[in-house]
Amino acid sequence: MATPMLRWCCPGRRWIFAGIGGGSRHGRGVPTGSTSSGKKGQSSVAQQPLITAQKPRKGEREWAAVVGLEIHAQIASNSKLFSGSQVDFAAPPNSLVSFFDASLPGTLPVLNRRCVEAAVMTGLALDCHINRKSLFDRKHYFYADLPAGYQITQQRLPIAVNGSLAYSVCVGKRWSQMVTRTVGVKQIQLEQDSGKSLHDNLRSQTLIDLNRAGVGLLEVVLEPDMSCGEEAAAAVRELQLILQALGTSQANMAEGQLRVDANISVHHPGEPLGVRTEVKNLNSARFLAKAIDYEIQRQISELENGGKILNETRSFDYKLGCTVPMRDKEGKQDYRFMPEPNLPPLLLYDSGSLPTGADPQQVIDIDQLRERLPELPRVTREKLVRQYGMLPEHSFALLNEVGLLEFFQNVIKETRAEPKKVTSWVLNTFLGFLKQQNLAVSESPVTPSALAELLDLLDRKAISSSAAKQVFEELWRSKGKTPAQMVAEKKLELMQDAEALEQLCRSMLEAHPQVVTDVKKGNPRAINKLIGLVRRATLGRADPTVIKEVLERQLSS
Amino acid sequence: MWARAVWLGLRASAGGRRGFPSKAAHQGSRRVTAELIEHLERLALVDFGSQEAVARLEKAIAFADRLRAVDTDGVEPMESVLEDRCLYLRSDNVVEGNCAEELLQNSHRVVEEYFVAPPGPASCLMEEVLGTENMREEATSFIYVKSHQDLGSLLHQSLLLNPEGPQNHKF
Repeated sequence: MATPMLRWCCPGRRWIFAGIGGGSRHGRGVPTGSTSSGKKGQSSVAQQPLITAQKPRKGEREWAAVVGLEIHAQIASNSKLFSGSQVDFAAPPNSLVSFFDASLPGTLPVLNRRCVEAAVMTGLALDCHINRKSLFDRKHYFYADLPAGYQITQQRLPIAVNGSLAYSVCVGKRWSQMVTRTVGVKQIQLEQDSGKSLHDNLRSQTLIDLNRAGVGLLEVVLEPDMSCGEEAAAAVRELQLILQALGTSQANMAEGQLRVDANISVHHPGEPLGVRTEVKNLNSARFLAKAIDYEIQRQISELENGGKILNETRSFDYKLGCTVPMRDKEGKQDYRFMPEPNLPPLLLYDSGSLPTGADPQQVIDIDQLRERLPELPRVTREKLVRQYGMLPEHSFALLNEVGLLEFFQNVIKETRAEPKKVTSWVLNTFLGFLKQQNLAVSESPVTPSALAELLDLLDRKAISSSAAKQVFEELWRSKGKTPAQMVAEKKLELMQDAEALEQLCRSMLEAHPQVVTDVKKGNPRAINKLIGLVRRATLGRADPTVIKEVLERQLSS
Repeated sequence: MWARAVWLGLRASAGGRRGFPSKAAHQGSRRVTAELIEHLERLALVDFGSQEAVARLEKAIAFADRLRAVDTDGVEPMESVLEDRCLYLRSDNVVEGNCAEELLQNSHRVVEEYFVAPPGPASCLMEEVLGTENMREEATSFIYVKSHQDLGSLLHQSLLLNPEGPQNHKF
């Protein structure tokens, strides 16, 4: 695969085409509509924050990329959006389907309260304006897994608009150089999911499972404020954490609970926006950034070679690592939006406007939901930094792994060691072992109490840090023994007898006069040999730093 | 109802897709172009058949145009006859489902508890669409629908509330 040679200044800011690339790839095609409903305008000149780290070479013009995202998150609810059938990932085909989901005549949609609450909570968490009145529409298109021939969505007046999502990206090589960026949230809307189509190649037929048809989705539309794959991936990751913290969605990309479509275009800064393409089938966190970056490169090389970008839909081929067009049969898709005639407007209230005497089950109070909002990841991280003095990137790492924060907090509760030590042990040693053996925190053989005890021993200077690492390894491998027991068994305790240590050091100095003269002549590193000898003599039970201190003191006297 | 959907579809495709203008922008000439017919055929999945049908369609549109005689300046469009009703909120409990057998009986072809998508041009297109499992894109399929009468007269009859109108049609 020949990707165009590309040099870009700093992650995501500006793009400079610095080589000749291969032409765009045309894989097998598929008929499809090219654009989604007309949510994005194309007329405005981009307002990109233009920060460059490198100056463009003479004759080259800079490129800026514009990336907008449409994220579909499956709502974590017991039943579906408009029917009472169950929401479950793995169940026998067509067993979780009601008459409404199968679109049998005479059935009507009945809105699920929990889905509305999920949408409002997500809107509040993303600082959106919640529309007190929102409407449902039908979006028509034909596909075998959409039995009704239309999807009920909220195109005209969605439930939440105009919010923002703050996320952090690394600029520069080190993980520690993080900056916070925000992307606008254009709107959040409730819509139905479709069923699943399985293709049976052998018999050339398509099998339809409607278990997923009708499940509630939150569509979060992000403004095109992002400029590269890394920013997009970071924004999606943060949204994932927020949804998981709120409990509104499990947002697991592998299980299809979170799906992302990207709208990508490139242009020269200062000029109008370019033609955009939509990239679908971005269902893996790992490949999200890659796919977007590939598409940006492809568009730049195409334009640099004098070609044109078609307003089309593409999909990402994981094996080839590139985007391929879906055959564009007739240009724009016309969804024939119309109001959903079976659903009145959705009205939401706040504490000031609650109708008196209303059935609480039938009324949604936005203020009440706001009070019950769980702590957002951003706030949790800020608290960690404030309370424990850790670096921001550590707080990110703690929240990035399921269950790690809880583990950390349990250790902190039970140990007297300094938070910084705990942070370091949890993020480096503990997490390192987990990753090595590909385990989740819940599967860890070391409990928070065990680690806490170990850190206490270290804190009391009962053992050295190298001994502590040994004990940790032992704890990982075998269960049933406490750290204290292990230390006793392996005789890893630090030598506590200062007098004996002094004696040992003095005798060592006397035994090696040559080394003594070396050190006195001005070669401080010669002392390391002595330290090593003393350590061996103490069977590794003396702290090297203490040994060094004693020797140096004795040498200078 | 169906005729109204087509009418709105026409207005939408001509006048943009954001909401529905309360006052119709000028619709252009009454001639229905070949392009528009093709577009409608694809969207609505019906077969226009003949020139006669197109002519009848034009007459039907002209008939419906009489709606414009009503002055709707300053009037908010009604979204639904239910607009002043309360939207009922259902509790999040599982009360339906588990009727796979019953549902599958409706299908012409079934494989092991899956519905089999109908044959014809649609499934050929869908074969190409469905590269990997769970991948889905929106496609326009060309399912040929057998109707007893062509589209134009169908519209004409519905609009005139012809009692012999299109009750037998299944789409």
